[in-house]
Amino acid sequence: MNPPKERIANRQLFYFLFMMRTIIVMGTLPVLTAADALQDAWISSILSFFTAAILVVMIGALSIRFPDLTVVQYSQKLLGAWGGRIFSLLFILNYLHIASTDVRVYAEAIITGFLPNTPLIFIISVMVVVAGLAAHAGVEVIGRAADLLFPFFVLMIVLALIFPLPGGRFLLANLEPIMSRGVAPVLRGALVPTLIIAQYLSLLMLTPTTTQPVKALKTALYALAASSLVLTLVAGSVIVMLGPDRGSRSTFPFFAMVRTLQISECVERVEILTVFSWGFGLFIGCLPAGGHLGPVSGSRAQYLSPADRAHHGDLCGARYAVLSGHVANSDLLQPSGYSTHPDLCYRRSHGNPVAGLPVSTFAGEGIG
Amino acid sequence: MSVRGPREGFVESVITNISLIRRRIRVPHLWVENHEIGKLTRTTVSIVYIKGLATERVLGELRERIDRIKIDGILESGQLEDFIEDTPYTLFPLLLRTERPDVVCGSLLEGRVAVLINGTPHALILPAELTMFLQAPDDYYEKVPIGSFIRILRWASALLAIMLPAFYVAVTNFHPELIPVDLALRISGTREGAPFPLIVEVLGLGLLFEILREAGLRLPAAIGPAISIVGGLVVGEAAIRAGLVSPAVVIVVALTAIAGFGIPVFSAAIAFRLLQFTYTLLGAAFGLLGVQFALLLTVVHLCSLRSFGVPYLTPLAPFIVRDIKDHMIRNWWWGLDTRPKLIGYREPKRQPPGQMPSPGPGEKSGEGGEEK
Repeated sequence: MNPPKERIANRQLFYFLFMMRTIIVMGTLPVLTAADALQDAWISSILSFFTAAILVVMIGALSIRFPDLTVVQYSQKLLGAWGGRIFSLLFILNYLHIASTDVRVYAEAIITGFLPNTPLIFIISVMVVVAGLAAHAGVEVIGRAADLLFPFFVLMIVLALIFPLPGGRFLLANLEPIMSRGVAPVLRGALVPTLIIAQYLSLLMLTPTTTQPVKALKTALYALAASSLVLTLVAGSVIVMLGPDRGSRSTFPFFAMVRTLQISECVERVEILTVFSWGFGLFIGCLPAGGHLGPVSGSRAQYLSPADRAHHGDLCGARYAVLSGHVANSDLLQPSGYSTHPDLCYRRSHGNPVAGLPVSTFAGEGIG
Repeated sequence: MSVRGPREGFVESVITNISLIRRRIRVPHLWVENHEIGKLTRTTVSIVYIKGLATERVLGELRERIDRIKIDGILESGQLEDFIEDTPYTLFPLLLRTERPDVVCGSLLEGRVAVLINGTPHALILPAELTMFLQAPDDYYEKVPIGSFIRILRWASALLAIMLPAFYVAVTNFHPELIPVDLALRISGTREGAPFPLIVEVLGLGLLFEILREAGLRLPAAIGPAISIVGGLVVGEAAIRAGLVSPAVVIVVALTAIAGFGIPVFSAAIAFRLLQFTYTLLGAAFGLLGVQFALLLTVVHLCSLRSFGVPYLTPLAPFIVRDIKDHMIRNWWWGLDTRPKLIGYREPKRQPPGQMPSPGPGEKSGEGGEEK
């Protein structure tokens, strides 16, 4: 009894785009780690909103002119059948690339933090399998899953930001001196988060499935604003808590920060919960990881036979082909060994009594 | 059973059951459509709904699905359920089964449809969402804070029933750093010299509990408690004394079992309890990553389910603000002024708003009170 065309609400599009950007900028915190903005990273975050917004307008403006068509369809209208097809192939490859990067980052975070002996390919495939199943179920299902998981994701961010407050473990002096080295480092810091906005290219595929396609651009800008706010807050709190130097040397500064939290006597080391709810966000935001495959295989259908898109069964094959491509791609992206950043060997904890015990008791065999 | 509420229940005769409903909804809009199913049994299957309130789309689909059935006999609503649910490939019940006329009437008033089958006291209500399986009639009859508290408890116990053993296994095996040191030492102390791996203990005891429950279920009420005493107390105590299982695991499994009974509808409770085993296995194999994997699979699965076209997780996903007032917590009856958006949209207004009671203007007029 499925409705003829799958629709997502603009609210759900907002969740997609918000989570998609937030997980990746929050995970790797490029304002801090990719350049030398150091204590001014939060200014870079604010700046990156404006630069990224320009790109989002460029991405979205055309697609809201063709509210019923995906990029694959309207590029064929604008550039002719073959020109459009070749052009949209670029987008499809881009989705694949972003998806693999996202899962790779997630898997690295898990491995460096918690499961150092688990094969990378396994963690990646877990995420890709779930995301692939979701993509197979359709964009509506992903929209509903986003509705369900969004509160947890936001709760995670909020908790991670407010728990440090009562402890007073932050040093506002870390933020100074502001802009001491001029504007150039700040601009460089804003560069990578601006480029990551390529994720929002999925707007091109998602716009026609929203209930109000004309408002999709507005939704995207709201999502960008919200995620920029989160990025600014996270960057700011990482600097304040860890200091710009240690923050910029971490691979995953946000988790390094959460790791230092001790909520009370008996609740400590909450970072794993953070990482897993980050995983929820990744799963949704990573419509790259699987969700994009929905649009991707949808677009394959449009690609091959624009008139006849009813044969859904064939598409599953295409989806799983793309999936396996994912795994391969993400594995090739980085050579292994990237994960042994000294700052992230979580078991070498500061002043934690567990760390004093022999590692074999706790790490290898477990106590169970 | 309910603490407060009518004690009446459906019986096997469909005519009596319809009269039980008619006694509660006394308008001519209450329509009953009789269908006859079963080549040999000629069972009467009655579709009951309020004309003008139930959506024609659901009704049309239901009629079509019922007319499609070709079978020699229908003896119970479960058989019919198998034929008319949206997808068979799920653990979760997609239609609500009930024996209570007040539940059926409440659902009819929301715009749902009931199916009564001659020969069984179990009526079917559709479309059904997951929320309905975690609600009991008491919530509506008790005072609001109490009803809401109980509902939240039920959601919590549903989560516990699914995840507690998996979480325990995953955390003790893979992430001991999550546990405070004293507790970790205590747990590892009780595991001293335990003969079986943790996962065997957890799964074994979990299965044992299911056997115990099933064994107790079929016995006459006089002997039933004996099983739980022998099985639960004697065997459990002896197993711990003998050092076969560790006390912590017994606690975890027992808590999970109790949490499973916190879910009021049997068909949903058993679905949750079965999921628990999958979660435990994944948690034992891959730690919290496995639990997360299972959780995401469950979320995707639940989100893809529909009951007669209505998404199974409404109003959480898709999120419908208006319907949240009767979900995990419920509003006062004077505040429940709209029907569920996706089900009662033909007559969205239930009652005029602004019926909040107040002591009236009285002497000190101007303070509070809605009266004008």
